[in-house]
Amino acid sequence: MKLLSKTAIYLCLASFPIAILGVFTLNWFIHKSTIHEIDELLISHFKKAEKKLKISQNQAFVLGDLDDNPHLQIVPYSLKIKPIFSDSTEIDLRNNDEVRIRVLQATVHNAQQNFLVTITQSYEEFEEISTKLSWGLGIYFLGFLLLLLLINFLIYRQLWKPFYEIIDHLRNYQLNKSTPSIFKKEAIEEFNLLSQTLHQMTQRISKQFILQKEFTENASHEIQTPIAVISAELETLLGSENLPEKEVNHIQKSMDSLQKLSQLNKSLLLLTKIENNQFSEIEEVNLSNLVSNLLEMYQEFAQHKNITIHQEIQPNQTLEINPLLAEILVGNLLKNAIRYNQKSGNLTCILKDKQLTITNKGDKLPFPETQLFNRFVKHPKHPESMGLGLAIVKQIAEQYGLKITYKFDKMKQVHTFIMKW
Amino acid sequence: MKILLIEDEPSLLLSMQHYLEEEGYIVSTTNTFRDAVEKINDYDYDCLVVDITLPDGSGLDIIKELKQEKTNVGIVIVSAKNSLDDRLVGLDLGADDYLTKPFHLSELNARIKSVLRRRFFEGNPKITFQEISISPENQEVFVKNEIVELTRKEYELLIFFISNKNRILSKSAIAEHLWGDSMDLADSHDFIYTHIKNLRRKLIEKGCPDYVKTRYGAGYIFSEK
Repeated sequence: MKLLSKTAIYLCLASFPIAILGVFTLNWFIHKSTIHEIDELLISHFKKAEKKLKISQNQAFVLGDLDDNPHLQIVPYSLKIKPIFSDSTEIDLRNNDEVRIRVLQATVHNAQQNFLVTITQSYEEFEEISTKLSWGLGIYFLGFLLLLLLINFLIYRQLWKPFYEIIDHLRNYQLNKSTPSIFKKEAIEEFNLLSQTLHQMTQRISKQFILQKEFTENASHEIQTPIAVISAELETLLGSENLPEKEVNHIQKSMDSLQKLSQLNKSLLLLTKIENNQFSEIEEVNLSNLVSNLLEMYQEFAQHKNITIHQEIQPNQTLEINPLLAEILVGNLLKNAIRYNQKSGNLTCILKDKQLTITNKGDKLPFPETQLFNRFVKHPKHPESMGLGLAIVKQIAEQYGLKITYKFDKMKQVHTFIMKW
Repeated sequence: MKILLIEDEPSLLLSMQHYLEEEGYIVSTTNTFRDAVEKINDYDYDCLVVDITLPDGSGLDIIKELKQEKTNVGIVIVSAKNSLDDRLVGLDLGADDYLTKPFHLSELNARIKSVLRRRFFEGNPKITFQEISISPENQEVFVKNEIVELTRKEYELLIFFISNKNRILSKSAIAEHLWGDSMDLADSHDFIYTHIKNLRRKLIEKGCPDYVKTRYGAGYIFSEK
C-alpha cells in the first residue's frame, strides 16, 4: 500500500469521530446560546407587561393579545413569585406537532389586583436551525477533507516524481558502468538529501570497486612475469646436455603445471575483466561466419577423435556483442562438445532463428546439473581441465542477456546446449 | 645479427640472452627505458625485444621513437598484458610481433627468426637445413629440389623445428606454436604425435634421414646428428 493511501485512510478514520463530536458540541453550544437569548426576550416582554399593568387601572385584558400571550391570571395578594423560567411543550397548530417552548412566570401587582403573568416563547425553529447548521458544518468539514485528499492524490505523482526517479536510477545502477553522477539536485529538500547521500555512497563504492579491479588485474599481470621466468629457466634446464630421463620427466611435469597455472591465471583474469565490463566495444558480429570458422579450426581435433560434425548454419545470423567475447563464448561451447565427446561420437551444431544449439554424445554428468556452469567444476576423467570454460560462457551470456540452457537426453546419451537471444 | 633485449626482470633477461646467444646472435641487454634509448642511439641493432612495462617508461615509446627514425630494425614486443588494445597499438606503431608472457624461449626464437627473415632477406628468403629448402613466400618445401606436399600444420611444424634446431622442444611449446589459444584441445599426447609422425614420414619418403628425435617422451629434437 502506498504511503499516500495509508495516510488517507488514517486521516479518514480520525476525521469521522472528530466530525461527529464537532456536530454535537456545536449543537449544544447553539442550544445554550438560543435559550439565553430567548430568556432575555421573555424578560423584556415581562418588563413591558409589568409596566403596563402597574399603570393600568382596569382589567388585564388591555394586555392580552390574540394569542393570550402574555397570559394573565388574577391570584391572591399573598402569592409572590419572582420571575422563573421553565421548559415546556405545546401543540403546534400547523401540523399538530409538539414544539418546545420557554415559559416565564412571575407575579405583578398594582393597586387593585395581583396578577400571575405567564409568557411563552417557542424556540423550536432555532433548534432546527441549530441542528441543520451543526450537521452542515460537520459535513462540510468532511467534504473539505476529502477534497484535500483528492488534491493530494492529484499532485502526488508530480511531487514524488524525483523520488521515483532516484529509485529508477538505483535500480539501473551498475557498479561497472561508469555513470557516477546520476543523482541530480532536486527541488525538494528531503529528496535532495536522499539524492546527495546516494550520490556520495555510490561514489565511494565505485572508488572501492575500481581499486579492487585494478588490484585483481595488476596481480594477475604481475604473476605472469615470475611464471615467464620459471618457464624460461625450466626450458633452459631441459636444453642441457646429458640430462637423465628421470630429471627430464620432473622438468616436464613442472612445465606442464606451470602452463596450467598460467592458463588458470589468464582465465581468471578474463572472468574478472568480463565481470568488470572491460570489453565494452560492441559490434554486430556475424555468428554464422564465426561458427563456421571455429568449426573449421577445430575440425582437426574432431577428426583426431573420429567425431562426425553435423552443421546446419543459417547465413547472416548476427548478435550485438564484443567480437572477442563472441569468439570465446562460441569457442568454449564447441571445444567442450569436442573434448567431452565420445570417441567416434558426433557433434551437431545448428544455428538458426536466433538460436545456437550444440549437442554432443557423452556420458551423464558426474556432478549435479546445477553445478555445470560453476567455477572449478571438473570432470573427474579430465583432470587437466580447469573447470572454467563454462563459467566463462555463463559470465559472457549474463553480460549480454543471452539465455543458455543445458539438457541431457538419458536415452540417447546426448548433451545439448542451447543459446537463445 | 645483433639483438637488444629490453626487459626489467633480470632472470628472464638472462635466460633470453643465453638462449639467443646459443643461436649465434650478438645479444645486448638493458633493463631500463633510459639505457635502452641510449643504446639504440649509439649502436645499430637488427632486432629489438621490448617489454612494454619498464620501470621508467613504456616500451611503446621506444618503438615510436625508433619508427620516427625509419630504421630497418625488427621489433618483437614482450608483454605481461594480453589485452587486445596493447597488441593492436604495438603492431600499429610498427612492431613486427607481439608475445604474451609467459612464453617459450623456443617461441621467441622462432618469432625473431621470422622477423629477421622478413626484414633482411626480402626477395628470396630461403630457409635451408641440410637437403631441405623452404621458400616461405609461397610456403613450398623442397627436399633435394623435389617438392614435398605438407599440410599447413606440418609446414608450420617444420619451420618451428628448423628455427629451433638441435634444441629440445616440449610438447606444450609445439602445441602453443601450432594452435595458439585452442592449444588446450591439443593436450592429448597422441594428437601432436600424429602430426609429427606424418611430417617425419613425408620427409623420410623424399630421402631425408630421420631428423626428428624423441627425448624421453618429454619433447622432440630436430637435429642432423
